[in-house]
Amino acid sequence: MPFRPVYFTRRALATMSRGPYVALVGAATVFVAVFATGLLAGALGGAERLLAVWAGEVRISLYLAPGTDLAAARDAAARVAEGRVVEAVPSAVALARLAEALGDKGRVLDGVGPGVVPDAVEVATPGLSLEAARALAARLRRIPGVADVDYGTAWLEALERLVAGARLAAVALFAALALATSVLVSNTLRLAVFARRDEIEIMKLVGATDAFVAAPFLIEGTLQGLLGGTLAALALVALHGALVPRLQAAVPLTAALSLSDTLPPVLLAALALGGAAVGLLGSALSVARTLRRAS
Amino acid sequence: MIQLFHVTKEYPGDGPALQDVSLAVERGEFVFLTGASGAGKSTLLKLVFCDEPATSGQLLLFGKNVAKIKPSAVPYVRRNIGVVFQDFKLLAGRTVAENVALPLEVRGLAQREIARKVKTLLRSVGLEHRGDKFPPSLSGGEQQRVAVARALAPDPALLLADEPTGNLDPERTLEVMELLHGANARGTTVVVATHDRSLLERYKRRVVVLDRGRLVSDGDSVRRAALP
Repeated sequence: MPFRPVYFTRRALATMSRGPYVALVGAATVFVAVFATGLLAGALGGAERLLAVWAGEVRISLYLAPGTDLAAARDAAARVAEGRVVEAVPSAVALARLAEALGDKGRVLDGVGPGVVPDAVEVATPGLSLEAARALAARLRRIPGVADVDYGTAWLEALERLVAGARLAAVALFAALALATSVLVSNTLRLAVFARRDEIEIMKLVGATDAFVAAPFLIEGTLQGLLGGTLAALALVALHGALVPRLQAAVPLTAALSLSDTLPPVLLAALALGGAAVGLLGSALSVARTLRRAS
Repeated sequence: MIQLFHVTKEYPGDGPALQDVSLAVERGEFVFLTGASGAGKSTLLKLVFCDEPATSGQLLLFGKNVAKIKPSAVPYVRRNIGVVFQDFKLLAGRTVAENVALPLEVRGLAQREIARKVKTLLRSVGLEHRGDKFPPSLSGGEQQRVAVARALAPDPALLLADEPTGNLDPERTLEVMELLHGANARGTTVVVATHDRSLLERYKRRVVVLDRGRLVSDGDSVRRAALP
C-alpha cells in the first residue's frame, strides 16, 4: 500500500468531525491519565527542588573541645572546605548570638558565663546539596579538637526521607496509575473501534489491506491522545498558576518554587507526546484485535 | 475465470449449504445464479469472493486456487471483484459519493480521477443529486443503486451481485440491469444471484439453478424456461 499521510489524515479528521463525541471521550480519557501522571511528576519535582534549595542554605557548625585552638581549627576547616566561607565563633560571640536569637527571652541567659557554650567554627555551604553537605560534615568531623558537628539538618533529613519515600510510593502509584489508565484508554478506544467494526469489515470487502484500514484509526488515536495530553499539560500549568502563589503566601519557605521546577518544558512536552503515544498504542491494539476478528 | 470442482460448504450445526458443486464461468460471461431462498446462491458468491473457505473441493479464481491464496493477498484478489451485497453494506458514516469512491481510494487513484468517476457513476444510477447524503437517509432502492455504483466503480474483471434488484421498482430494475449489462459489454464477467424469474425470462443468458445446495441445472434461459 502506498503511504498516503495526507489522505489518511484527511480521513481521520473527517471521521472525528462527524463523530466529535467519540473523539472527545477518547481525548478526555487520555486527559485524565496524563493529568494524573503530570500532577504526580510535578509534585515530586517541586518537592525535590525545594529540598535542594533548603539544603543549600545549611550552615555546618563545628563545636570544639575545651582547650582547642580556635584559630588552628578554623584554618584546618578552611583547608577541608576549600573555597567556602569559614568563620571562627568564640564562645562569647556564640552566647551573644544565642541571646539575640532568643530576643526578649534572652534574659534567661543573664549570669551565664561564656564557658557554657563551646568555641565553634561555622562553614557556610550555599548551593551545596544535602548529600554533599553530609559528606563535607564527615570530613570536618575528623579535624583534631572537633567534639561535635551540627549542620542543623534533622528536619531536612526527615524531609529527604519523606521525599525518598514519596518517590518510591510515586513509582508504585505511577505503575498502578499507568496500568489503570492504559486499561481505561484501551477500553475506551476499543469501544470506539468496536462501534465501527462494520466499517472495517466493509473496507476489507472492497479490497482494503489491513494497513489501509488501520491507518486512519491510528491517526485518530494519536490526534485524540495529543489533544488530551496537551490539554492536560495546559491544565497543570493553570493549576500551578492557581495553587503555587497561595502556597508561597502561606509557606514562605516555598518562595523558590517556580513553574520550571514543577513543570519544566521537557516534562510538559513529554506529557503531550506521551498522551499521543498512549492514544496511538491504544488504537493500535484495538484495531489489531478488530482486524483479526474481521479476517 | 471461475472454476468450481466438487465444492462443498458446510456450516457447523447446519446441513451443507453447497454440495458437490462443479461449475465453470468463462471470462466475459453473464450468468444468472438462481434458486429458492436457502438454495446456496449467496454461499457460492461468498466462496468466490474469498469471504469464506470451501469445506471440500477446489475453487479456482482467475486461474488460482483460492485455498492457497495467503490472507495478506486476499485484498488484492478482491480488487478485481466488484460485489453488490444483498444488504448493501454501505458505510453509514460516509456520504453516498464517499461510499462509491471507497474502492477507488483503496486502489490509490488520484482524487481528481476519483471525483470524475464517482460523478459519472452516480449519474448512471440516477443519484447525482444525492452524492452528499448519507446512506441512512436514502430509500432501500437508492441504497441498492449506491451499492451497484460502488461495485462498478473500479471496472472490475468480475462482478458478483447478490439480489441486486431486490428492492427496486420495475423501472429501476431495468436501469440496474442495463448497468450490469453495460459492464459485461465492456468485458466484465457478471454473476447475478436472483430469484426473480422475470429477469431470467427477459434476459436470455446462462442460468445456473441451485436447489438445497446442489446444482440442478446449467443452461441458457430458453432451456431454463423449458424446464418443469
